[in-house]
Amino acid sequence: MKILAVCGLSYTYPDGQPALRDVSFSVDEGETLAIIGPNGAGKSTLLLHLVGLLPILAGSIKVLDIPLSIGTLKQIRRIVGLVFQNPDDQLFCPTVFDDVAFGPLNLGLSLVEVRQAVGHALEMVGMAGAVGRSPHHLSLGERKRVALACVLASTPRLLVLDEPSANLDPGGKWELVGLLKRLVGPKIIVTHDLELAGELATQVMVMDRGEVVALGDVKAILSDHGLLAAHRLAHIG
Amino acid sequence: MRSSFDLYLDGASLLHCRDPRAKLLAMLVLVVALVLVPVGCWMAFGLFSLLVLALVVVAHIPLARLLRQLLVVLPFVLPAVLFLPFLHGGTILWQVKMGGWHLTLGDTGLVLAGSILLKAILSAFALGVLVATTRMADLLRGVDALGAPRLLTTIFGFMYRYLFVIEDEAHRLRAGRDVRYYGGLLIGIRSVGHMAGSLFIRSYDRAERVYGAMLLRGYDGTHRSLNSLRVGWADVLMVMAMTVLAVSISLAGRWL
Ligand SMILES: Nc1ncnc2c1ncn2[C@@H]1O[C@H](COP(=O)(O)OP(=O)(O)OP(=O)(O)O)[C@@H](O)[C@H]1O
Ligand SMILES: [Mg+2]
Repeated sequence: MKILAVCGLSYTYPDGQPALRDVSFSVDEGETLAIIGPNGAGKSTLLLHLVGLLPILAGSIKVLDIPLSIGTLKQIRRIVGLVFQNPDDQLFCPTVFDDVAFGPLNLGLSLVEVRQAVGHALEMVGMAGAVGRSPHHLSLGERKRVALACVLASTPRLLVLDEPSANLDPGGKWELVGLLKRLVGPKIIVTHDLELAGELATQVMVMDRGEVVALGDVKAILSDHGLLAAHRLAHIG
Repeated sequence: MRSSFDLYLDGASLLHCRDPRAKLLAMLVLVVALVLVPVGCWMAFGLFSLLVLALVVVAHIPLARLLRQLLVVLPFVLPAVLFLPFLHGGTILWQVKMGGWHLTLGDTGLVLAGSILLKAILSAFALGVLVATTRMADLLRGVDALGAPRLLTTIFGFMYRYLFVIEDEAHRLRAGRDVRYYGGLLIGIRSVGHMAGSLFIRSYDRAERVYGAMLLRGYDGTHRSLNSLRVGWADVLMVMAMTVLAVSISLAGRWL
């Protein structure tokens, strides 16, 4: 069974800006898909669709064979965990603990279970020491880790990350790579960073102007310099 | 970067360690008792000053910081304090004629203004001690546990969280303007208008994204939270001591 299957997805923003055109792909259990593409390619728009934050205008999305619709929204958001590009959009509570506990609390877990889930998630991202701190006192890299912990705390089956390495210094980026490598399970990672994609992905999908222009094995795509250059992902020359 | 909205001063003083609910109650009692002190009762004001000063010392808060916070409060009281002495009668202390107008400074008004000013300053100091010794998260938890509507505490929590983000954004916008700004008052004023508008749009967009993030983590309109406050004997003692002290000073001022 595919954990995710997207078929013929198209989307145009209310202001008339087309953002997705006939996008189809799927993700298997145990696979990591890197989505790369220039600015404005529609990557973030696609991710927002996967968790039902934008309405499906044409096409379909299936998660573990459950079609995404209003009725299955809750179920699907339980399976797919999206980490936003900007951690400030995701950390909205007065303390790190409250933020990471937000998901588990809404799942109806008991007090003990919530504490456990929070402790475990923060442990995983190496931020256990920051439980009582305020998000606004953390550095960007730290906030990104906590944002990841917020999603991990609800134990999603499919982890989806929007530009996880953007604005991180090289050290922070490689720590993140290590962290993501340790997390088992299927992932979708949107990134501009080919190094990160090469390190983590099994499959790579290239998007440009809302379309899927290439989809295949990581080595094949990342070594195709012509393809990358044609879509502003590599330096022409 | 340390923000001007950061009111908490880390420490381990007797006051820092108290339960936020106890601190809230104690400060409430103090402020109410202070407000009830009759006008012109200088002895009670003196004793209250000593009490507040004692709190400041116990909490290790630099006086300069409290004085700076006073600048936020004063604009609200100063107009009243400046006009009152001229509006109430009593013994005339000073008088000028301006055209057909008589400007009269009376002692009743002067005493009233002095009392109001003292009450405002002492209350501000007391609240300054409260917010300097209690993290905002704990303060909100305390208000929540004391029965304030959850919606209100939630909104306030968001407000406090995003003040910092918006402040950051404003700094960036201002830096963006400053590197392109070569003077001229009109351009300056107009650019402030643009910045305010841009800040509003950004905040609005952010609100939308934050709401999306909440939905993704199972938010359905009810705000659940873990409340793990514990009251100890020291907390009870503090509230009782404060009640006894504040009420007796207030009453003593009335009867003596
Ligand atoms: N809220 C919106 N309203 C209208 N148009 C939008 C909106 N958000 C994005 N778009 C447009 O949709 C297209 C795809 O945007 P999207 O954010 O999905 O790109 P992206 O691939 O994530 O780019 P980036 O790498 O810069 O994050 C762009 O042309 C963008 O201008
Ligand atoms: Mg994007």
